[in-house]
Amino acid sequence: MILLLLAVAVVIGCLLMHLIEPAGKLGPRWAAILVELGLGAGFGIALVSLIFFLLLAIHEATAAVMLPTEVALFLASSILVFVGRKRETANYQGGSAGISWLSKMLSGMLVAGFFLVTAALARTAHANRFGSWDSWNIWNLRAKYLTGLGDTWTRAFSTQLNYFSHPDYPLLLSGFVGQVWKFSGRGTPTLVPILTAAVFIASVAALLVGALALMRGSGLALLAGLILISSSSFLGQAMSQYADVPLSFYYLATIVVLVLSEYSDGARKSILIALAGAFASFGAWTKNEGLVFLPIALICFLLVSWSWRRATSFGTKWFLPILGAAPTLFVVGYFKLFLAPPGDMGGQPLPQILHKMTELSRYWIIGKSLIARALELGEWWAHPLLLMAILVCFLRIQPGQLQKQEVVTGWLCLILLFFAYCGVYVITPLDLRFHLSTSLTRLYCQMWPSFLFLVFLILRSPEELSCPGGLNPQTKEIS
Amino acid sequence: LWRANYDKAARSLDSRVTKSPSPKIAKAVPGIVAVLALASAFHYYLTVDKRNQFYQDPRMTYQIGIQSERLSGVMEMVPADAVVGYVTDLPPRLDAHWPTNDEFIFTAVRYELAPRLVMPLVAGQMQTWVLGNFSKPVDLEQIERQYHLKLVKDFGSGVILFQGE
Repeated sequence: MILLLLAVAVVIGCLLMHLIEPAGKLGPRWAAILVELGLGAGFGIALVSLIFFLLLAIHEATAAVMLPTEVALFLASSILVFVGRKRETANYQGGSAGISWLSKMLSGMLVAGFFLVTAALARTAHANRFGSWDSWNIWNLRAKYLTGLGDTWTRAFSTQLNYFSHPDYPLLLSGFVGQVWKFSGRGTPTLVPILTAAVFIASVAALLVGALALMRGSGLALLAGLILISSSSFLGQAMSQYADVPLSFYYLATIVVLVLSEYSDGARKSILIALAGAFASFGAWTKNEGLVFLPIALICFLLVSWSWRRATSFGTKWFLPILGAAPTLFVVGYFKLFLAPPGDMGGQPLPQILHKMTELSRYWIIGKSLIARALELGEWWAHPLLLMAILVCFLRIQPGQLQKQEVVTGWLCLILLFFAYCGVYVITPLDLRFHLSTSLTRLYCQMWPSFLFLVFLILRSPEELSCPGGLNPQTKEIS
Repeated sequence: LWRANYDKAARSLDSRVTKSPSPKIAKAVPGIVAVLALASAFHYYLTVDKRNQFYQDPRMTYQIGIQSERLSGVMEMVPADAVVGYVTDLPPRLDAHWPTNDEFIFTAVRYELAPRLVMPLVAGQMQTWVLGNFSKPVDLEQIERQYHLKLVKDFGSGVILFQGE
């Protein structure tokens, strides 16, 4: 039953993504499937979590309501996919005809790396089935409260929980784990958060590799996948059962879908822009950091759209991400305004904040930590940043990539998010060294897949270099 | 203006960093990077047990792992929606930045008993159910008097269930 409930959420999301076809006519086919699977898993989990929370809020979170709702969603999306399949069959560009020996070698290495990392993460999950401190003191604890009878679900955000449990945090992860626990009827086994964590890390990898293969070719996509699995600091977070890897997925999904909209037109473009807003809002339902990312993403979209001012694009499309984010924003707003207690980051008087902003020593401490934690991303001899620097030096940047609206939007989002995180450290009411030591690694983890995606998005691909003057079909289409 | 400046900078960057490398280098470099990345993944696999030791700190993993067995009797007797007071001989230090050992134990108990809400019992406060979680033999009569409790059952291993009088 546990596997069935998990699978239903993932399959609903995948069917909906298949219906939207975020890849459009971009190929290869395997990459389009990876993108649909990756986006679908995260979308389905968020959707089920939101429905479960809404049912809790109206006191109808019973198996008699929740399970038929999921079945209805599954059937409706299946029927729509079946009807859509009859209507048109996508004609993918960029098939497998041009697979080079380099792509074959990289594919083999990525598959080998995937098995190694899967085996390592399985050992971590086995050795540490309850996850780390925050998992049983925040995320899974609150999931357990959500499974309770009557009004006991409100304990998930009770002021009676102590500071370490962060009752103000949003509930995407706890809500999803809680609903599987509640309706599986098998108690609260740790298998559920472990599998949920596995789904999210797999979705991050699938989305990163699939999206880059669609937009920049297989060579760069496989290299990005290899660098992701060499990021030991990121892998270390995967099985901790925290919300940081899920949040990294929603950041990545937002940026990927936004960039994919560049390759579409008409109704699909509008749907993808709205979908990017929806994924940004899922981030806001995952963690407080997502509440910072959502306005940044919306502002960046509006600012860059307005600056680029394409024919008809700004006037008719500026509201689409807001429209996509609106349903989740409504839930997050209700939770934050009426249910959740104030967080631990507020309540400082203005003079104290201003005083902290003028203390140079704080900037020095933050700067040192930023470098120290960045060095911990991987082994020194195969550090992901070093490997990326080598690729940038030798492959160089694809001309024109930095002038694309969606690429600029993605970079601006990530840069502003990074500075927002740094700004929070400057004025944090907590002890600065304690705050940095307990959170900075996880903040890097949140941004890491998006950073990888954006760097590889602007690199020149090995395929392009091996056939001078010949751009791959995807690049040709948009240049 | 912002857009114009950005385009100028991007074009300038393009012209400086987009010179094509030689085809041999373009083929060799991705291969070298891929080998290093795969070696790093292999190294992660080989060292994962050592990394896992961090999570197997007895204060954390052991405490959370044993509570299911220790508290199974309590979970059978106390309703799932109950608020449970918590008495211990190791009072938590709430002023510490890092959780203290006592807080590890308290949070492990709280996790295991959820959705029951476990809260430290303050003297004078009344709770229907109160859990005693002790690290060594204690004077139970003195605790009953101090908190106005009545012993319900001693489950062993320092786990004692009381009811408020």
